Amino acid sequence: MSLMTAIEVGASGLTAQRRRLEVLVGNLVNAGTTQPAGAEPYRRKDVVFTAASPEATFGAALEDAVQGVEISGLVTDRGDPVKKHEPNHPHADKDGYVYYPNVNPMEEMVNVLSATRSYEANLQAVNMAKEMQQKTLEILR
Amino acid sequence: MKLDFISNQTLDAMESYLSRLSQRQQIVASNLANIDTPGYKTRDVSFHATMQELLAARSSGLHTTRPEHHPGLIQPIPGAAAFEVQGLSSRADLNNVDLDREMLKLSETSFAYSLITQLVRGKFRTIASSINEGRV
Amino acid sequence: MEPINIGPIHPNLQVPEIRTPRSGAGEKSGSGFGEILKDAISTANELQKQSDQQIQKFMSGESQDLHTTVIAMQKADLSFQMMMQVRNKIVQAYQEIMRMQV
Repeated sequence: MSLMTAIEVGASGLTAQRRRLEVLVGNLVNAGTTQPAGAEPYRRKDVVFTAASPEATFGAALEDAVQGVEISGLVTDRGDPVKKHEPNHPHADKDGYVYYPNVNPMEEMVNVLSATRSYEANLQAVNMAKEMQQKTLEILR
Repeated sequence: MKLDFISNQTLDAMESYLSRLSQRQQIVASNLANIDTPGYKTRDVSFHATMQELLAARSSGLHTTRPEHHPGLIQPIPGAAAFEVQGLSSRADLNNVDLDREMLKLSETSFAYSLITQLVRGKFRTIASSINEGRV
Repeated sequence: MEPINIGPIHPNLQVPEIRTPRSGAGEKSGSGFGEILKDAISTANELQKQSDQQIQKFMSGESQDLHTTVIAMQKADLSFQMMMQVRNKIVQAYQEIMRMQV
């Protein structure tokens, strides 16, 4: 049964990385948006990972060493928006500044790549565990 | 002359070793799942074990790690202690999980598991052939 | 049936003693099937032990050689099967001989 736990742990990683990816993509999509003067521009968001025990299946013993992961929350980057001087922009304030989201597209792309890599690694873990289960059954053949 | 096949110490040890490898697989999966968790430290369990360790682990019986679990439902725990891996560098969020190291451990564990299951199957096949070929 | 002891009729005429053929694993005279079977058993046992040792070495990390472990396993398996065949053949031979009309 401990291989099932490994699969669950890997699955929790997959879910977490996928959610992270969604948030990162949201950042990228909103990177160039602006709000009318006075309203808050979009601010970069990120996920918070915390270790979490996988759900018990088949009464599997939860060893303290084995933990899955979950997204415990969403945080907003409180960094200052980027000010650009564009007096002719419809959203410019009285001084002619437009406030853009504090999203750095390069940084977000790097994060996207990292999330993808982590996702693939978790997938490998799940596949390996499944393969080991298969091998176990093959003893009977 | 005793050819001890069915009650073979090595076979018992192999079974215990497979448990050990399963446990390691769990821990590696846990490390990978938590690769972005702030403060998480890489864990491992020893990949190699002596005969004594393996045979002792096998007879260690059932025990629970949480009070709400009923002993009857729990699988025997292999009994190897998981430890924090030393010597890894941490990132800004104090997480020290190294993706490449974990991937390496994944294939190492999986391969050893395949090998031992094959060898176990081989042993059983030998017994089976003696049963089948025994006809005169 | 008792063996017929053919001794010399004439004091000067020597006729060699005919030994009745005996088969089976109980023979003590050193030739034949009993010895072969014993050899086969001890070889199988020895290789079995070696194979176990190799497996133990792999698990303890002493030996990283995959091929040594696998080859030892195969040897043990084959020698065991060989031993079974030797046994079968002996039993067959015994039965055939028992069927002979004397």
